[in-house]
Amino acid sequence: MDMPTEPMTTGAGDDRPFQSLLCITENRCRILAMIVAMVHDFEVAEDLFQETVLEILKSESQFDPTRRFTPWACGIARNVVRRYWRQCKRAPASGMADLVADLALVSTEGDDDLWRQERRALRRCLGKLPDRMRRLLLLRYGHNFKGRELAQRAAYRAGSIRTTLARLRGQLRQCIQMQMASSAREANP
Amino acid sequence: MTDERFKELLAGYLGGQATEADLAELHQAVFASPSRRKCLQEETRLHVLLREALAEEVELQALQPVAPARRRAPERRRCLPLAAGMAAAVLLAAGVLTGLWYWSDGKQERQGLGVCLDVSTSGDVTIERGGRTVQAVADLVLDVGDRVVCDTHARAMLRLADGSNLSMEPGSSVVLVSDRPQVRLERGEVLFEIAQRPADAPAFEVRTGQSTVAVMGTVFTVETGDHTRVKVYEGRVALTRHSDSASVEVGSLQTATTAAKELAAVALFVPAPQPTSTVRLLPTDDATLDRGARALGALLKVEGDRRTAYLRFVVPAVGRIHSARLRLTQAIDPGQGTLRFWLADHSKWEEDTLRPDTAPKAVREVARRVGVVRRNQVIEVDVSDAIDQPGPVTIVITLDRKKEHDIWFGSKESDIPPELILTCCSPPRSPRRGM
Repeated sequence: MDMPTEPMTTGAGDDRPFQSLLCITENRCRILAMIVAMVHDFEVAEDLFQETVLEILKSESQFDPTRRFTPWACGIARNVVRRYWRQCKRAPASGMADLVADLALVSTEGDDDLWRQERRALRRCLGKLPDRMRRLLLLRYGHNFKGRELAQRAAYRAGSIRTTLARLRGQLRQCIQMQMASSAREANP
Repeated sequence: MTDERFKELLAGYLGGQATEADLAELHQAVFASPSRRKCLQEETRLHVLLREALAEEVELQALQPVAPARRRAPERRRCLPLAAGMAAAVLLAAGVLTGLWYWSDGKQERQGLGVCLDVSTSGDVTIERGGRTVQAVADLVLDVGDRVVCDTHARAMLRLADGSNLSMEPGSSVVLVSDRPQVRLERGEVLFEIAQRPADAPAFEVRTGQSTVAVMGTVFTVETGDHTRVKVYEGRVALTRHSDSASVEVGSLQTATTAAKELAAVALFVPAPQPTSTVRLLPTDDATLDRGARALGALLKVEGDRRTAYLRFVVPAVGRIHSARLRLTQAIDPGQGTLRFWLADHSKWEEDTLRPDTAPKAVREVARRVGVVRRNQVIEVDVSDAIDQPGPVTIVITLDRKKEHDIWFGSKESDIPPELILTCCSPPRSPRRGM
């Protein structure tokens, strides 16, 4: 996904909602990454992302257009997650919440263009996986199964599922890097 | 820290299984080493991109059974990446446009004279405004001068700015004449639930071709054609006939018609028990089970194969119940699909302890609503079939659609709680003693 390196620019004011929505759309993955890194569940994160979008639109008048959109939006996402923790009485222990938020914020950093390039490369790499591996990823990431249920459905031992997934992600990471290197060579022969 | 240990911490962190000690160790490692910081970013990106790609694939798989079978399978396989791309683009565009719609809806929020609360999915409801006709949709803000027309198959519910509700029957047509408020009923029948008005405020007026009905807060119907008939269920109204300026007060459980030679209020003809009062109940308990676990928060959420909402009401002994309507208000996440409302097999549950093994089972469908539920939309379904005696009753709500089509409603903890609206009749009179 394309990440803006420039601050969000706005016109006379009438197009601000549209600008905001474009910024949210362009930065969806990054804001979602912030939330996923804090709540560790895709479906909960996707619900909280929707609440974040509403909060962003409500608070849009407070946004300084000379500054970058993503950090501001991620700050709102962090507050939405904290509110969720309070409502659910699931807040991490004292001091931990800040560590979790710090790590989540780090997760959203990085070169803006990487998200787009990696998305493209990942889709190619997924196509090359053996069926059994692909099915495991589909159950984990597509259907959001975790832990013992994931192991049962994917027919893996519960004790090995985390390692298997980590190894699989490692393979995908290697494949993505090779794909990106190959694309870079094609672009600059 | 070894690379192996770092990878282990990272896997635990992404899987949500890291302990506090693990988190602290990971935090220290990430903030002490730029390469590990980069590694965390790469892993999170992959984590989120995998979700994006594979959730999209699940969506596409879910769509496949409804697509017509194709004979040329090889071509279909070639088209799949393109279809996936197009679907993603459509979803993205829909997301932006939907968001824009919600946003512009919110930004342009204006009082108007009222709002279209709900429109039945069968038949057409139209709004005539300034020489133009538009399809009525829920949430549409109504202005002075608007004519709302239900065709012979459609119903609509309007809420005016003063809190009054108008339930329009098929074939009815009303014009919102002024913000006094004054409404002209051109044809058909409308049930008016007029909010109590301050003593110094002008009466709410309903005008027909033959008469004017003035009210200060009551429940009644007005039906007009060649003549006008008023039926009052609660409170009283003043009916004035235009042709001779004759006027009569019509009280609770009385009716009057302009067709009569002498305008007079008479007892409402009661072939069957008639409504005498409206009782609004809030749920004693409500909860959502999300993949078998109780979802927390002030919202009820429904989604196919994932989330089911449970509502428990205690119906008081109010005599014979004429009708029961369940009213829900959308919150945060709009959606669409077929909402099914089921009577449950028992009501021995509490929201704090609801679990899949104790949750009531849906045994009989009592109502169904098909279509889109928009932002802030109030939906109302007739669940009379579920209410046959006083006592606790549980209604289970399901939705057939998944993912982005899920729908959220306010729960009893929210400021837009569900309501069960009972229209009741007086209990049967006891036989007189000594007779």
